[in-house]
Amino acid sequence: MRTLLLKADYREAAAKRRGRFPHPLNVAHTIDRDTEVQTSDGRIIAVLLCAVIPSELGKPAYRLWNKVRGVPRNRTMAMGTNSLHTSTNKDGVPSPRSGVHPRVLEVSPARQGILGWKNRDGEMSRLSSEHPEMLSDTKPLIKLVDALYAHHLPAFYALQRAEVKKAPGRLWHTAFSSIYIAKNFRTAYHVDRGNLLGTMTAIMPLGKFTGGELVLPRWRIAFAYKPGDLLFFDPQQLHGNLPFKGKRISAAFYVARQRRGEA
Amino acid sequence: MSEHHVEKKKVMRFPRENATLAALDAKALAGIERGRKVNIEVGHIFREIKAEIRRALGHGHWRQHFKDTFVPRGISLRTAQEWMRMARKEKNAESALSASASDSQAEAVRDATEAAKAEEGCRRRLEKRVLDQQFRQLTSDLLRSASWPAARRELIAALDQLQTKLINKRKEEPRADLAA
Repeated sequence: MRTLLLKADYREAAAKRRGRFPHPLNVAHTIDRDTEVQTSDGRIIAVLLCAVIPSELGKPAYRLWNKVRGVPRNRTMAMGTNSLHTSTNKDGVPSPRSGVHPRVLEVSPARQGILGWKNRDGEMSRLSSEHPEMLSDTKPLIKLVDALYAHHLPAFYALQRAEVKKAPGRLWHTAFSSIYIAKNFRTAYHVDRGNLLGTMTAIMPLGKFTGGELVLPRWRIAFAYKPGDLLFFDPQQLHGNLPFKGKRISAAFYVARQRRGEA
Repeated sequence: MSEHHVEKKKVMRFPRENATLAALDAKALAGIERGRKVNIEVGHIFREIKAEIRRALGHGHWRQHFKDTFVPRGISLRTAQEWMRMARKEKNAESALSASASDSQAEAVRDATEAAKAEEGCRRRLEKRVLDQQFRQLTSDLLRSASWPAARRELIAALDQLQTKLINKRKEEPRADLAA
């Protein structure tokens, strides 16, 4: 595995791009083979592993997870829009509930769902309760992702495992509590707020598509990952996807950070 | 004692991380990063100086100015050119980062957001217009009604009371400049 050392840091310029869709010009370097990405102070921010998920595990997972139907009305930044009042009452007064406006949801093919534990209070997600097979039938895949995490990022893995042990729910004996399924979701630049700080997210694309590279604007790099590849990256880094063609599911394995009542 | 030198069997030890070495490495790396940022900053300034010289004196005076001003301080022209190259690269990267996506999905989301915002703005304006109309109607009704003289007296009394309250409050509050 090669190591890519990042020298130029565009933190301020990248921060201004929050909620905007990535453009190919935002990328100076595309990574498409086994690579460990380090910042100039020696911090690992991402590891790309190519062709590590066998198709006999990936294809059934795609078939099962393709059922997600949730509308991403709570993900304004990732949808590339503003938080607006989503409805009005019968007197024409806007409702206090805000999020992604229905007009935006209409034009977006994005769907989402959470498998496993919704938060760290031991509350199971509705999708897992309604479709338990989405988790049980993909157990070998989840275990494989966990093993790859332990092998390639042992320090992060140890921290995450210690943390996930404290929580009431985790996915079997792995270092993950939840899986976020994003279907046909081309995200604008955002950070994942629901993840435990200091841990990595394992992200795995499935389906048949071209494009959809994950861009980290702060470093001007993109990961051209395909089905069978696995990317570990710091979800607190601003990230988004380039446009893609075809059908695509991306599964993000993570530890939920939020307890009820926590910001 | 044997004539042959018996080689000691090497004991393989698990490599332990040297904490002092790691800390020193981290310190050096942080220093290098700080230095790089300063170099880029100086590169930007050199670019500005060069542009200013070109504006004031015309083409071909930058090198001489540099030799007179900075070479005696130990900065070679090559070093300055490298810093200017880094600054230019950073500027180009920042302008590349500001490029906006123009694919169909991004455009569709942008248009839908604009439409939703306009709709919400319209709704708020409409709401304000309705409230303004109601207020105007109620005021004119009151002015025309027989109870207006009594209402007028009440309004003046209420305003007087409010004014007195405000004056008293201001008197009670210590002045910031005097307190300091």
